[in-house]
Amino acid sequence: MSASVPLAPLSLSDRAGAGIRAVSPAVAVAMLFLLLIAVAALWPGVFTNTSPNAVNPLVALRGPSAQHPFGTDELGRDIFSRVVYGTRTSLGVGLGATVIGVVCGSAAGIIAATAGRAVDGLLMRLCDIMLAFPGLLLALVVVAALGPGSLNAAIAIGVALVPGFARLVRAQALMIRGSDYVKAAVTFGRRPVVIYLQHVLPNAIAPLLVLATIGVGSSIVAAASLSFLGLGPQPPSPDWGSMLAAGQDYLSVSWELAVFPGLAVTATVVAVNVVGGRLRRAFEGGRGVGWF
Amino acid sequence: MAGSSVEGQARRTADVAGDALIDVEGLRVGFPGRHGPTDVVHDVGFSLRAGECLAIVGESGSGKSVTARALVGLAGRAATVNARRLRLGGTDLTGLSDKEWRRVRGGRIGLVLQDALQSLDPLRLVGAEIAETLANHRTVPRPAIPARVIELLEQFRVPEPEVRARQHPHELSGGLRQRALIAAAMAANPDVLIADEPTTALDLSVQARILDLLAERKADGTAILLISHDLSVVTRLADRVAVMFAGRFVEHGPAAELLAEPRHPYTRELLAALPALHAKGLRLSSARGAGAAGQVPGGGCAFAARCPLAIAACRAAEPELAEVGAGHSVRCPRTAEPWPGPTTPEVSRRPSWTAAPAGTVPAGNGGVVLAASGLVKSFRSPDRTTRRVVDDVSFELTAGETHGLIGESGAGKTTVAQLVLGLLEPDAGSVRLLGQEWSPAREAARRPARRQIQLVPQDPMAAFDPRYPVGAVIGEALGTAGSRTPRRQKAEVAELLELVGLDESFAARRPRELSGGQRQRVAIARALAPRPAVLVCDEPVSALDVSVQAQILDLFADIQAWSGVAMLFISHDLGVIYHVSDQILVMRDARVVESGRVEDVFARPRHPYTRELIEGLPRSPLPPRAP
Repeated sequence: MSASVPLAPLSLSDRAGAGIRAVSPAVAVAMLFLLLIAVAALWPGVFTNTSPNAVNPLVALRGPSAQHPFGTDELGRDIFSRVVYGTRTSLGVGLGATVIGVVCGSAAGIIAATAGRAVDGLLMRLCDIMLAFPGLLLALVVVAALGPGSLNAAIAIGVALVPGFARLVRAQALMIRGSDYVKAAVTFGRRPVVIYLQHVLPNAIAPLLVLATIGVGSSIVAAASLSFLGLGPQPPSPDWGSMLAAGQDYLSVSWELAVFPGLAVTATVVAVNVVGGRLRRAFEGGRGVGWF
Repeated sequence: MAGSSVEGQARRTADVAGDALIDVEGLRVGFPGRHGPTDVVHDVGFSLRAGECLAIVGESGSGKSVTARALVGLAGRAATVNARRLRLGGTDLTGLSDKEWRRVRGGRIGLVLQDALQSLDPLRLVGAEIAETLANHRTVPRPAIPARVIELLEQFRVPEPEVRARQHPHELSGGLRQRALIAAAMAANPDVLIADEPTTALDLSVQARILDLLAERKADGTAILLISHDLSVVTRLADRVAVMFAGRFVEHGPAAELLAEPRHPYTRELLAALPALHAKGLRLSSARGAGAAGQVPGGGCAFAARCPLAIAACRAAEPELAEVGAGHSVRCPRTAEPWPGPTTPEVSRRPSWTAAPAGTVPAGNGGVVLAASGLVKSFRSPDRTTRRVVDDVSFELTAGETHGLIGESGAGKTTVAQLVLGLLEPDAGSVRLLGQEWSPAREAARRPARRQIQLVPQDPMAAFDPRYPVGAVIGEALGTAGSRTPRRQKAEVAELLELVGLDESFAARRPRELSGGQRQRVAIARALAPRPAVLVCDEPVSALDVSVQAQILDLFADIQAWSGVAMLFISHDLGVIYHVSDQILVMRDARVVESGRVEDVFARPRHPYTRELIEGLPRSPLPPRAP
């Protein structure tokens, strides 16, 4: 009813509107942090003048100081600079993997939903098989086949994400295909191709994008895990995961080596999850249908 | 019992506290709103005696459910409940502790809600649900509970009670679930039963049986507070009726008197909006009914914005509840004014097109635009048995006429709609549209003619792409993007919106921001966009309030008058079907059991099922009016 009768629970639009406008301090801090991370990935020079690979054995394994805010590693390299420069690879692998997972997953999901029972069965059984392996193990197998490196790590993690996204998109597409608005489009005389492009695809993928945002966080962790095992970007290029691995040996001597890259990973993932969760809630408020 | 209510209703003063089971005065319920706390229930007072039934009537959002919930302490955590007096048979209900409330609920007041499937725990057996009430209130000794559960189910006419007690709620039909829920609510023998829309989701014949059940409880001395938006339900059970609008009782009096001689303009509008036998061919909505309930800034009468009798004084200050007869009070000073009579539909808007223009309808077949013959459709159930949902259904739709299709849920109405729309292929039989093969046919061959037959759905929200604003929703139906300029498309959308009584600013709005009636108008505009010869309307008004329903039904009448579109109008509501239809088809268990001109069928129903339906139709309490 109208404004005079506020008995009816707030309409969806009210909640969605409030959800988008009202941002809690935690979300604001997380968003600010992600902005800084993005700047660090694109223009690391903004934050530090020190080269991440400048070796100076004279100052090896020093604690934090004015000159080296995060201290130095076993070769005397500035840890702050390496964390800043490491952002690009860590974030790049995490984002790249998610993009690969979303694109291939949605394609597979849409094909499974449309191409008939045989193709659907084949694709979904394939997904079942892939899902039977832990994601990281699957990524390890792919890297073992392709060889180490940033791009291969991204591909490996992305491939492990494909079956989950594919299933999701397929389920969404099947649900939307049976929806009243698709039936309505049929009654307007629309061709199936047009209906798929105009209604099924966008509505099936929209919820996935929100989920993918949260997925970026776990991809960054997976990327760090792979490079911790020496399967990611190769030295001397700075990277959070390999820095953690190197710091492990000096943990008893110098805590800075492992703690700062570890903090970088943790803070980024937490920030991504906080923002992703907020997005998801705004999205859920925005439409009462769907899976999430 | 019923006799004593006549004198009881006359006294709403302080001294009734002794013999009234429920005695409420000055009840206010507020919720925190965007602009500070707002009263949702405003100064409501009533009393209820044993064996008496008070019905609270109003549209959705009027505060009737909140009033009922406040009586059992369930108005909600955010709600603030205040009352000058709130008593239950001598107990003061204001300031009860949670523990004390629990003794009241179920023990002294039973609550029955509309949706039995949501009110019953899906994981628990039906018997366990009833046993819980018995155990909580120690009605019978523990070992006797199972036997009492069966007894209760039997008492509430649940067939095979031993079997039903061991089933889950989803295994029961809607009617049986509602009975089980009433049995659970009445298990501890409460003095008062609050029934909030107890029959709204049920079929007509099931509805009648549930109401009979409630009537029996009433005869046994249970006081019933009935909440409903449906006046026909109210007339069967209520001794007194309170009409609620914007959180206030605007009229409160003996049922027969109030329904026969409504005094408040809102009650009058409500009764006039009821599609009943006498109103056929007349408009149901008042000329000014289109406006929503508006809070008048100065604190005047909330109904003034859409009241044809409103004067300046109404907008200046809110009228007090004043007695107009024995136990009959009205919150309006202008009850003596004559009510503007119903009008006949006038063709006010002449759009630039008519459905099925000359030449498209083959001459010499009496204007038949769609012919369905011998339609059969079966579905395979999960247990591998096939079930015929449509069996040998034939009819012809004529330009400018409406076929009403009535039947209970599961009778096959919606399947008929889908067959006619070409969304399902029939197993046998065929549909011809404008003289051409329509179904069965290849989709590619059918596609060019698709625009000739359009659907008005029950739930517009589900039928709109959730990403689209109103303009895109209608634009999609206009045709392929690119076949007209954006400016032309915008103009056409605006024209269609105007046809359904919305202004062009609606094009930019989101469907979820609109009210139910506005959404249905958008759905109708979209169905008209391809300029169809046939409209299939599948329960288009069943989710709407009576006054909104009246406006939408009038809109359908207008559209048909100027476009000559043929309509297949599906509904489970016989009153609605009677109002809109020229021809009627009665469906039961997949078959058409009776068909013919609506006046003939109503005057001389031949099939026993049709007779049962028509006898179930509430007699209009209003005297027939001259057109």
